[in-house]
Amino acid sequence: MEKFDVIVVGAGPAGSTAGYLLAQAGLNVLIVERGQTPGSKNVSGGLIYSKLAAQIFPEFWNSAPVERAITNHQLTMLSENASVGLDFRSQEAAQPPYNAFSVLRARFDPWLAKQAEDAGAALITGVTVDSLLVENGRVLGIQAGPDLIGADVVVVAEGTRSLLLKLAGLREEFHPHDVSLGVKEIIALPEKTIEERFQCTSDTGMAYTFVGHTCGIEGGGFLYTNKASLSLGIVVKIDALYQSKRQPHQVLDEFKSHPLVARLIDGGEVVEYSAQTVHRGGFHLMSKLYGDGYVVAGSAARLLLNNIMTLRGMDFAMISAAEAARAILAAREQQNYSATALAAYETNLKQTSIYQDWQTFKATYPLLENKRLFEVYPELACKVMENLFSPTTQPGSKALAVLREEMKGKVSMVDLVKDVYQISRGVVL
Amino acid sequence: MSQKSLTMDARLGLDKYEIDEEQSHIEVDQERCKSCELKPCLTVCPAYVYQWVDDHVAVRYENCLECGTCQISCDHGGNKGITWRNPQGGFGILFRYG
Repeated sequence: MEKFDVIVVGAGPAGSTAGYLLAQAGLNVLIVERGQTPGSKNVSGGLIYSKLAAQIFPEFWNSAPVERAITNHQLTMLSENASVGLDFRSQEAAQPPYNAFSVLRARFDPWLAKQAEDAGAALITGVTVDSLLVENGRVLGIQAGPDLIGADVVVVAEGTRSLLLKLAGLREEFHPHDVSLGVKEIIALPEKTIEERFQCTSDTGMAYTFVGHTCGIEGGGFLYTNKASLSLGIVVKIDALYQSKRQPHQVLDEFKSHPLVARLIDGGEVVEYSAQTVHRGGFHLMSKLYGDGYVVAGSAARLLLNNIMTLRGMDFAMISAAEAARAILAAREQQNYSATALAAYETNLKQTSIYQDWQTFKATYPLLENKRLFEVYPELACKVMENLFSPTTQPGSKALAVLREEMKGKVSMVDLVKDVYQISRGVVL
Repeated sequence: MSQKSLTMDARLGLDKYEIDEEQSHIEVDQERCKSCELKPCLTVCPAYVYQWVDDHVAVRYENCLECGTCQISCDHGGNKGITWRNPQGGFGILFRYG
């Protein structure tokens, strides 16, 4: 049986980062990717946060195919036909080390894989790994069609479906309560139109996060500006989706019909339709990260961070892969690839700023469960605003009176107070 | 509204696929599907891969976007009738943007 020091399954941000760092350290690395080219199976909303990614690939923005540096973040609540939102703009995010970039994975992932190849990793594409070779609980390599290939360590970076781990019985079942479905369209628009409509320069862009107008299903929408296209999509919880009996493309169409969204995408031409599952994320839900002869990195281990304002998958994938690589190199020094030796990976990961971020924003997670946040509050917020901004022939009322009136039958004062507390705990205090 | 909604066929027609003519990467156990009450696959699939025709599930695997939603829904909200594998190397959806 052919043997490598390390086999990496998947050439996404986690796999290519692990491959890059391990090949750079002189290991004999094979990366196996099932797509014809890296990225051809991969979908993201499309933002990569740059500061952590730059720890591994310094100044990657100079050579990587990024779309636009995001200098304007909008958090917008949508009611039936109104919207109210926060608008944050910063010029600091327009220059190194930036903050976030919009990317298209079919362009970005090949660049990452190339970094690994240039460092000496072997990359094969168009090959599906059928199973992990497991003997007495120890992962010895992979099986791909007729080929059996061995390795000291297998880095499982197969992405969000995590099929190999499931097949090998190395992860728990995913529950539809903890997973969302994202559906997305790429909408082509001329660069000039994007720059005028979204008030940006040729290199900078805007990112919208939307709450509300997803047919009452827990989740939200997003819109990011690429160079000459928009990434527009919704992310909805899977159990709520099938209970609602709504089909995902109907929810997407409904979202697109909102007057604000419709205006933002006006005149654009849909050029691609895609879908991907998104884990709720958080360290409390992560899969087992290591065992005898293997480690798991990126979204295959459900490593994802969501605090409503930011949804971090790619930088988290890269950081987890870097910590996995560090643990593998330490294991190599002792020539011991057991679970005990590879446990350093989890210990390392829990010392990163990502883990601290999660600790800080843990209280946000219950918010993502709160149906009222998606069903009731966007409508309420818009009603209050409408009243404040729109004098009529009737005498006006102050915000609280409007709120009381609008809340009737939808939410009790006690629930409101509880929710305000939950929201403050989640994102403010 | 200048954006009219696209039909599913028009949407999927935008995407590029390398179709494996010889074998489907999705298997369904029709007996299990028949006795499945909720049939979540018919609702959740963003590509309309699963359709109830007469008394069985028709699977248009060639339209699959490979998101994996059907498997998770079927395992928990359905009757565990779906077995979803990755298509053979190089086959299936080919995102040009992603």
